[in-house]
Amino acid sequence: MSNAKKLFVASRKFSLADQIAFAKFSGDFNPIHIDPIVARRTISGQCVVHGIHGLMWALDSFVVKLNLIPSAIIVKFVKPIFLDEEVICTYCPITKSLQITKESIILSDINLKFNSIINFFNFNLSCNPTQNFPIDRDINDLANLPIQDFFYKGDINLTRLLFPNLIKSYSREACCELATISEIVGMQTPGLHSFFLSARINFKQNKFVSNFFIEHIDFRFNLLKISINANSFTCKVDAILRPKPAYGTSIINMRSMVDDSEFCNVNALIIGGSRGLGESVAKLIALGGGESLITYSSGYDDCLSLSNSISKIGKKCSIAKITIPEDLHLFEKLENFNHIYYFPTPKIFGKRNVQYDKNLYNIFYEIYVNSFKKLLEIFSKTQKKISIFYPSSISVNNPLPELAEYIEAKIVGEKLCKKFNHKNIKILISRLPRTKTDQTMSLLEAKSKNPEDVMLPLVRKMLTLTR
Amino acid sequence: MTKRIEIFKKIQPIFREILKDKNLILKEDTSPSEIKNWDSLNHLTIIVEIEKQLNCNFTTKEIAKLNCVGDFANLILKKS
Repeated sequence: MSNAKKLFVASRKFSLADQIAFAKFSGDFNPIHIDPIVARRTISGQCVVHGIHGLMWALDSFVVKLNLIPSAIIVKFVKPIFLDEEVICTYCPITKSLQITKESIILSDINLKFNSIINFFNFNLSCNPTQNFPIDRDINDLANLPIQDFFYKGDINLTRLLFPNLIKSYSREACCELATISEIVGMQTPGLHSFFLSARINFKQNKFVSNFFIEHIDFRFNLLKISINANSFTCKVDAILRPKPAYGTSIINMRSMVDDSEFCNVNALIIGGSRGLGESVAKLIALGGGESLITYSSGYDDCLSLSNSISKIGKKCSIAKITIPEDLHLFEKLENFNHIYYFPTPKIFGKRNVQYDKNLYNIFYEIYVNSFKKLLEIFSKTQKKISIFYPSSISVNNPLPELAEYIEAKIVGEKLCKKFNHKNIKILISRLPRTKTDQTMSLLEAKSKNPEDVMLPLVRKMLTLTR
Repeated sequence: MTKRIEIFKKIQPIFREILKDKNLILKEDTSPSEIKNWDSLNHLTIIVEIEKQLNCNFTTKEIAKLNCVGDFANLILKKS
């Protein structure tokens, strides 16, 4: 396959504006495609291009370049397409496969069939108003879902603008129906927490009812087989109900873990504290009577909600937008802290292959080493005793290729901490186990600990460092 | 032993196809940590495809213990 000659079909970048346009056209407004803040809490950690958007772009480019019209398509969404990255579409005439790739990584694998001549589809499109937000279903809802009617819910006027060549091959209405596959998966079934794996599409004029329904659920993986009957095709979709974002344990439920006054002398700066480990530390310190300033980079809503939950139980906590490394200088204006927790991080488990990525290493190095070094320099000027927490990872002991850049940067960061010597500043390094956070979400169940269970003994240890 | 070799012969093309590596040679200790593309999604796809092609079914508990190719072979042997 890799030796077969491939023809270049097209290349492009998908921007957020492109995504919003496709959302309007298809009716698929799932936030994983159009809202970077919500998307950062999903398994991909960032916005991903609608799979059907990628497919329709590849087909639109293909039909004009090769002057062939597929009668059937099997598309596998192998890896996500991220925004603003250059992707290439190629075609192999021997295997009749279109591929969307980034460098050598296959992102979408599209097998085409030309078994029958496609007649221009002519029918009246069944339309319904756009849904504003996807349905949040769990697996039990899905198991009891009846057959649904098939409706196009997008803006038909965008078809010509977005897919000018595909319109000529299949018709405007057929293009709208194709886009509706995205709407069905992303907005309805499974809906909000969907993960689109593959689709087998057979183009043919369907004179019967247009509908869709779940054919089968594999409850071990929350894997759904969905059958879609449209006017212009029949389609079998494989999709997963992916894990919901890992929201931390509520502060009320953590009450029994901490004595009311055990952290009463703590004034903590929690850098990158809007979610995950930082969120847990903020709650633990508040429950123990301490105060915190939590910083965030992009998760204002998460941070505000955390701060409100702490205020509600009568404890103090403030928030500030500080992006690492750009805003490091702002720490010079902050003082009186005796605990600092350093949790800023880019997405760790979002890589799409195991090839070493020097750029990714540089991103990790900047945050885990350079910025941390600058932070130490800033707080070295103070006369106060400070305990600083530097989180490392258990994966340093058992390196995985997909985490190579992360691990390498953490090892350098650990070395920096060990070398650092200051009479008033003590650093606690801990190689943390896998915890239930957005960073470690997986389609398969993986053993992980609650962040508060991991962090409580460490917050207690921080107390003893500068005594 | 012959049965084990047979199993490897049957599952190798599945791994090659899903992991997009036509030269992949499976060994007992081949695991996700050393194979390009063997992520959680492909792990799941491999399981579903093996079940389909070898006509067997794995439970959630059994799946949780599949850490390397040898584990797959053991489980398939147990099921056959």
